Amino acid sequence: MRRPSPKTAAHRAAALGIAALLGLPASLRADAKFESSSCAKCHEEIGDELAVPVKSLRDGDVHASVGLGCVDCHGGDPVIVTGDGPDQERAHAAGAGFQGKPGPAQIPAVCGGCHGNAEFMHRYNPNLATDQLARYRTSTHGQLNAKGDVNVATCVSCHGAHGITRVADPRAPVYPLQVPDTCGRCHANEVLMRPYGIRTDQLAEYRESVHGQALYEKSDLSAPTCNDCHGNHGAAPPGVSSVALICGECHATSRTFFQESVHKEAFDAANQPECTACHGNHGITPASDTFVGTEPASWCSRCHFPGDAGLAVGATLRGMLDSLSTEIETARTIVERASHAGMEVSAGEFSLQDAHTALVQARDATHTLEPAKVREKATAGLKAARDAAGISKAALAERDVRRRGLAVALLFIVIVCIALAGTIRRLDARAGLRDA
Amino acid sequence: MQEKSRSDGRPAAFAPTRRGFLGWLLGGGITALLGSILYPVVRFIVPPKVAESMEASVVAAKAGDLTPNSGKTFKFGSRPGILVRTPSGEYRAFSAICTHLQCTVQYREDQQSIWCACHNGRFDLSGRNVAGPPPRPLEMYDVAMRGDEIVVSKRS
Amino acid sequence: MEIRPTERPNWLAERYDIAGWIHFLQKKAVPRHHASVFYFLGGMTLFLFFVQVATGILLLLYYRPTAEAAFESVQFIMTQVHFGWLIRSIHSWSANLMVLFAFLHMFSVFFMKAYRKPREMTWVSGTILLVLTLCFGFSGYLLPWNTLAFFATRVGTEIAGALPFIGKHLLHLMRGGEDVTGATLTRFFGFHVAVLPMITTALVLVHLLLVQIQGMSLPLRRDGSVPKEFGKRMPFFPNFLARDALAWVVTIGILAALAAIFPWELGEKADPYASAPAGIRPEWYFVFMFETLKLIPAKIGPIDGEILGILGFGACGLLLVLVPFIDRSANHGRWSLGFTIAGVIALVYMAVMTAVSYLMGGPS
Repeated sequence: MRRPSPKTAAHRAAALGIAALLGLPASLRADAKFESSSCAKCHEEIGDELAVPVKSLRDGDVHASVGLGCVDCHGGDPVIVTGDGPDQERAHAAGAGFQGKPGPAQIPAVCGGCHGNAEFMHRYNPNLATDQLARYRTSTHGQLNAKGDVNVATCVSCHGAHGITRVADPRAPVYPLQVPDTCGRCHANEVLMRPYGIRTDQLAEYRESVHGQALYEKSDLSAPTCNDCHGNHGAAPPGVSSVALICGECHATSRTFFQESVHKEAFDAANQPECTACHGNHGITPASDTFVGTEPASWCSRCHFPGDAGLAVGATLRGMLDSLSTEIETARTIVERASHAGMEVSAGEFSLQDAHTALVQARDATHTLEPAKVREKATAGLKAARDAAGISKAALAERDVRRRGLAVALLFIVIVCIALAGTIRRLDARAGLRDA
Repeated sequence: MQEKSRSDGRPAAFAPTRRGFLGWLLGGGITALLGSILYPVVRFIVPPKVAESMEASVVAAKAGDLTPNSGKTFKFGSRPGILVRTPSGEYRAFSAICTHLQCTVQYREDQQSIWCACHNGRFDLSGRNVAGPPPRPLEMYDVAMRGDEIVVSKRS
Repeated sequence: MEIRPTERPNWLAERYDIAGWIHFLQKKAVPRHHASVFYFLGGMTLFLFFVQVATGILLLLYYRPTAEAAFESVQFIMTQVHFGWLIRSIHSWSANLMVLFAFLHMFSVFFMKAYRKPREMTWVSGTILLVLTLCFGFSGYLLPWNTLAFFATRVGTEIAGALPFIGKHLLHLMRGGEDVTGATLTRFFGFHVAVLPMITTALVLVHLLLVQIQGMSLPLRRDGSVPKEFGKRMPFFPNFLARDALAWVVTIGILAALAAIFPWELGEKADPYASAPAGIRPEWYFVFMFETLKLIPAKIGPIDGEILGILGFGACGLLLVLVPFIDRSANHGRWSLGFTIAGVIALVYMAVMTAVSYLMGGPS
């Protein structure tokens, strides 16, 4: 870790000292802390822009709620001396440790001064990590910040300065649903990114991707956002040979299969990123069987030529997947038909679930590039699909049995009707009603 | 008022055989019709082999089927369930549908937990989601021993 | 088929004084004229009621009237019980046919003005029976506890609850609480299998007794005359009854075919917390009222449109019951155009409203 400059160190010490001093009584009168400070009083009176921090601190700010106030970050003298009028000089005195508004270079130290101190944080939240500053220094953002870049992200860029809410609070800019937009504030901004030569289409791609759909459409908080792959404090793009490990945090089986396959060596040798070479990184589309195979649009064809062994394997794999999904579709149609006809098909639906699971696993197993492994899953799936179809066909046959039974009953009914009609004629005649 | 009638005394227009035939036809037809009504009714009244409606409870396994630290999937209505025997020998049952994207979960003896192969989700032996993407625990079922049968039923 | 007074009743005649009954039954005769085919409608409705009772009792052997088990028990009947699909489908189809025939019977009696003196009480008991039939339909519809039934019941009881003064109490009484819950199901079940059958049986007996005592009415014609009967009257036993039997056997055939070829659907189990699916509407025989309520403007003057609609239908129902006492002309043997026109308007209105609802899709 870089040694801080003396000026920064002094400010840190001042901030720490004051925090420590004021922290003690603060725990006794927690929420009144910043409200009763001269800072709040004056700034609110002044109004407009300068009053905004006061309002933000009132609105669920996590620091204010545990009894921290303006001076814990900015320094200065918060005491209101009754009788005297508002005294900016005294409040803003450098002797009282007043720092003013920290610039981008100072911010990591200001926040890290408390958040990087395990002993200090223990008092407020023993569970909270205290390595954020260290991680930040390893990140691309942190390295540029240390070099004096004032445009790069610092703590307040993502967390805000006043009105900071906990990460789990849906209002927080770092809540999972908000993360892509927070990162996108800079990374989707052409003007900001041009000096660094970084693309700005990631956010747009992510929104359309399978992960973005999961996050936005289904509100699935477990869907990966920017920080899940890039890290949050230690944000940096993953290296070429470690991509599979990162994707493999969730897609464990695909990772294992890929790393056992011949593609791993080949990709690493060609300096191709592992998963992302085929699946993309931000704009990941839903997987489809068409990725595998010999068509020009297939992913195999991106590297393999017609006639080479690799493409032949691709063709075999695709053939197995196709036959399985066709079988499942056929079975599903029959199950639906039987179900709509009112027959009992729960056993069929159960088998279909099994068949579907087998299909998912067969698709996953294509990452091994070994037909034998895929065939294993495909065979199980085919059996389940055929069972489902068989059960439903039996149910439909049962319906035919019913119709045959109906036909027999209708036959008796017709006989009775004819007999009754004849009897009616006879009775009418007997009763002299023949002209009826 | 109808005349009393037997084979004699009927209007001359009807021949004996036609009237007799009609009588037989009517009687036979009615009997057959009654039979085809009574047969389904009687079979309806006789209770079917599966006396309980399947959705509410099901026999998942027999007593000796599972060793401790193992699990098996079973059919619960149209959905899969998983019966787990913990390392301490206790039986637990859950819905086998992963709460993430509805893949079928399985038991992992090496991890002593329930695992979903699709995205590496893990559930502990109380069904709680402990690792990976699943957002909710697995639905838990009641397990009861009935003789040597292990009966699983939905929680009311 | 023929009654032989000297043979069968001997055993009975030695013990019970039934000679008078036998004589009465033998004399019972049905007039024959161009409109006498309508005389079958009442018997058809009665036959369908018997079918309902029989299939209903059979279903009772397996049905469970709780929110947790009702749907599953009907599913069990449809899929596991031998011929359960047949009994249940017949019960559902026959219910609809019974409502249809009850309406047809009512309309034919109305247009033939058979309600006139001396048959006023037959008409009154008949209209009450029609209402009871609709109550049977409404209560029975909920019993499978599927999505459509749940929401249709919620909407239906909501409408009842909109009545002034008594609405709130009526709603609580019907629902067994604030909302449609398992308590509603149990209550509807009690109505459907005990309360309604008891009242209906009693009234049917009264209705039939009156018809037996007074015989069949002849339709009143425009000029105040009754049609010329052709030939002699048809003896009820056995001639008319044989024709009844033919109609009933044909009905059995139709019910069996409907049950086997169009088995009644089960749908999905009701989820009280889900939102109502689009296109909820009650059973077809309530649809004309439902559609009317939808088309009434929200406010008519100071009064809520829906309440006006409900009260309107209530008033029409009351008028219907009281028709014999309002149609003075008919009582004096004079054919009044007004009532016939009112009946035609009502019939056309019901048909058009029902058609409109189904052609326009679901509720807006």
